[in-house]
Amino acid sequence: MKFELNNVLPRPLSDTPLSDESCWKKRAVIGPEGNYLVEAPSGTGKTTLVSIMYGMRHDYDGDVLLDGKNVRKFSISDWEALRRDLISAVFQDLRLFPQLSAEENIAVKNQLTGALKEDEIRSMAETLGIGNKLGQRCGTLSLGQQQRVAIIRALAQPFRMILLDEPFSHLDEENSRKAAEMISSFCERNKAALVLTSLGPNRFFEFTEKISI
Amino acid sequence: MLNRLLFAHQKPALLITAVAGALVGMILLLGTLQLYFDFSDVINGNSDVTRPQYLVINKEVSMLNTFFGGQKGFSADELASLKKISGVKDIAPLTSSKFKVSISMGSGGMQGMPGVGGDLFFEAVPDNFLDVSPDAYQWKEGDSLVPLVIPRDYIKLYNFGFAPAQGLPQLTEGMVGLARFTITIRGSKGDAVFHGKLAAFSERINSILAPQSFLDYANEKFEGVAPGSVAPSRVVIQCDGPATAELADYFTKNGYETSAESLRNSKLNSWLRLVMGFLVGIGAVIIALSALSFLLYSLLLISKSSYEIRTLTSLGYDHVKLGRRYLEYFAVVFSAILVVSLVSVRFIKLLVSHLASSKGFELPSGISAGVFVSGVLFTLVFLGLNGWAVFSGIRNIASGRKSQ
Repeated sequence: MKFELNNVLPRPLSDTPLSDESCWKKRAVIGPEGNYLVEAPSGTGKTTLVSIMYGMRHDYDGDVLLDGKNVRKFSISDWEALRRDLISAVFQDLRLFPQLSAEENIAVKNQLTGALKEDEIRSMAETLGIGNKLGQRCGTLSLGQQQRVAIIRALAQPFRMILLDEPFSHLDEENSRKAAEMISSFCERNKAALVLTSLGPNRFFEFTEKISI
Repeated sequence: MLNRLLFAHQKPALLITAVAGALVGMILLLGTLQLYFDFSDVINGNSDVTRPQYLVINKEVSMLNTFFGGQKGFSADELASLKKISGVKDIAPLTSSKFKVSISMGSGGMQGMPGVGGDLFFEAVPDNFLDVSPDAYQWKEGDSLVPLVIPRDYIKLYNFGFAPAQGLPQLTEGMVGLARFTITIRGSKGDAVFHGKLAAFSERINSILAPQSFLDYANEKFEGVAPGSVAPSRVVIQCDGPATAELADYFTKNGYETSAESLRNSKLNSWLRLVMGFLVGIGAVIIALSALSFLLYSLLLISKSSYEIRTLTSLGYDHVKLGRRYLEYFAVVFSAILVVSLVSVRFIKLLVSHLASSKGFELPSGISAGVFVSGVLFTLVFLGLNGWAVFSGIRNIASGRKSQ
């Protein structure tokens, strides 16, 4: 699956001066394969880019094409179907349900897709060091633990592209590496493209392309 | 688990208030509607309000036209304007005999019956205005036997008034039907003798009726009066339902008289209808307010759950399916309200009809189909309104256009 950005500029950024390398107001192609790094300082629209590609924001000028089709024509239900089967995401704000346990948070997604078996979820949680936290309410977990729950949840579905919005911001080196390995293996298995936003360089993935903002 | 997320922000106190409001509104509305239906039943004397009713009218007899021979019949114009009044389905003139009639019955025909006789008159109406089977009530030229229809009240008068006073036996309708009598007609153009029998009894038209064909024939033959050439003095009116106040007013204004009880009730009837309509209106206002409170409740629930809804749709949940969950929930709540309301109305009805019967006043104890249908209708309206609120709210949230 391939995104094409033609002259896209988020409306909130219309008054902000753009750097010469910025992908805004130019043509950029993301996908169908490869690992993309969106590296930029905060406030330049990394999360906005991810939100546009995930159909959560529509306040931009220019056109975004997905496999040649203008995404403005997509209905809400079209986007929802895409999110079930083709595009996965780890949100910067995680979007977990604090009143549910870690396990239930993952199950909310997995029940919809049936992608993972229960012991698979368990072993993934063990790998990321939150095996003993699965029964705990998410609201009581640390941000780092929550981030790992969100990562496992994002992997509990088939996808051809995964959007990671600063996924490791609260993880230590070791856990970041393990999470990156896990994500990479799922991408390989799904033949999926990866888009990662980061404030600085990220050395846990091998990036094929860098997108400046 | 999904329901735990979608209904995480329930406010039980608010829900209970909204349910209580809806319940009160629904019971009031359905109860008033039921009362309305019952009262129309009582006033009209039967539950089938759409059954046509018949009225016989005549012009008021005044001194003036007694002595100076004023116009007493209905003119063609008057008949035409009568027909135009709303609620009037059809009219037919009562044809009256222009010749002199006397009947006599010898005592030989029946044991214990004295020979009786006297002067009479006949009237006739078209068959379809009569409440008797037309088969037994036919006459064609050449027949010597003329079937007659008399009011059922005459038999009662005889059985309970005349017979006990004179020491005569009471008679059944069947027995009376067996009697044969002689009809003597004397007109300016000739005399004739026919035989007569009582073919049937009418509760609708208070007159001695002969077949229309006989009267048309006899009027022409014995008095030279062609059918339809004389303005009728009495007219039968077929109404769509119970007589309306409009009809009563029209009669008063034009100096027409009628004996129909239902017409005298029609003014009271319209007043009662007005009062009942007012009560239904109050019930409707209450139910509208409770619909509003439910609407606000569901809007609040959706907006409180916007994080959950947005997150679920961002995980790939279909927003339509999420909306359906809310709708199913409201459907259960509203159905429960409907059932409780209907049961309550039924119970109140039972109490009221018990009370009424102790005052010697019969009320049906069941719930009318109309009440049931209105209840279901209101529930559907409730559901539709809330469905709209839920779906438009969820659409807004899922589209990402609201509160990023």
